[in-house]
Amino acid sequence: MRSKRLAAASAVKAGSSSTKIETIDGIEGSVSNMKHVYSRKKKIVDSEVKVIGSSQAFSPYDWSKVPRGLQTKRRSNRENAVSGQKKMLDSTVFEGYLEKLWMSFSEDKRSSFTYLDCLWFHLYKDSSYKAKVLTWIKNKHIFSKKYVFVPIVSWKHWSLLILCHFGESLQSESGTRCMLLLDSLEMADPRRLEPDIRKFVLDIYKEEGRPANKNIVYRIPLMVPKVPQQTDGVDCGNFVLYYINLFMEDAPDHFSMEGYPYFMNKNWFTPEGLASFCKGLSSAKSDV
Amino acid sequence: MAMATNGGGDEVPSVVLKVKGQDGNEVFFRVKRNTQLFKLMTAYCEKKQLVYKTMQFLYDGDRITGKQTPDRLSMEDGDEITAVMHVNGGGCCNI
Repeated sequence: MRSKRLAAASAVKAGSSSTKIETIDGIEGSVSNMKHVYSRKKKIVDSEVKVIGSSQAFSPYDWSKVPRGLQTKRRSNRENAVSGQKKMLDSTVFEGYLEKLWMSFSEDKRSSFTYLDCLWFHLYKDSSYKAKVLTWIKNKHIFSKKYVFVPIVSWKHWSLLILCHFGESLQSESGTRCMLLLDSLEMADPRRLEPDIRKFVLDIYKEEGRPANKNIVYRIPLMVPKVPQQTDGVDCGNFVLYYINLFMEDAPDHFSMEGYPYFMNKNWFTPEGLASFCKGLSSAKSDV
Repeated sequence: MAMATNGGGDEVPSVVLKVKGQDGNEVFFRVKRNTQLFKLMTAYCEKKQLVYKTMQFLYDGDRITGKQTPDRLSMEDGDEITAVMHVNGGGCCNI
């Protein structure tokens, strides 16, 4: 037992040098008189997951004394209460739907598009995640795609940024490279996102090691076409998903200023179209 | 090396993972390589007094689903999982 503990502690030290690690057998540790509670629990529940250390002091609340059955019940009650009404989309549900939507397209179709996780832009704005998010984006190889969807959730509102033809050289003057911002709530002024979007795009260029300076990147056109608008306070997430769906279906091979705004106008789709689309999304069971 | 000495007694080797929360604090877990990760995620939420349903866990930016295992994600000792609270979006009445 003792040698096992030591091994665990040294393994953790390899992972982090700054935090204090405590290793105790059982599910959770750092308060010694609780040890027997945890080791008993371990037999009943499972021994596969162990907290072996934390950078934070042990919390005074002893959750282990709450019977597991109660916790589950509380959770399911909460779910029932929420599912009765029309609700806003949170990032987990949104991503689940988006994945489903994505898989409904043929591989051929998907090859010229990609999308960023809907939390990334949100996390990018947090300085402690910024560097990490930029690495994640780099792994997506967005410069090899024609179109990149960037769902944005900001101020409790969903909107959609589409990066078009970013693979083109920045110096090229033929310039079909552009950005589209689709927002179902025009009166909330989608342009308020522009400063963040500009910084985001400049950072992406830098991270990719592409020659970029503020002047060039900030000149990439950012267009806000007039698209169908939501009529309530909860629908924007569904609108964004539907924008993605229709854009993937109809996007031109080469997006050009001559053709703009293409199909993206006030009458792009009807409320009925959106409603049946949403129905289709929520009827299929999500894996999450 | 640490893994080899530790894994000696067990039939399934384990891996040490770090979960980093939005408060910057880190919690370390030792998990068997074939354990479904929802066990780690719920254990984290319980320790930090968070509601599991409101949390999202990312590994290299990708969402971790409950059924995935360290093996399937090719996780290695010291790898970091990012725990973030999910975000809601609706529209005008929420601004």
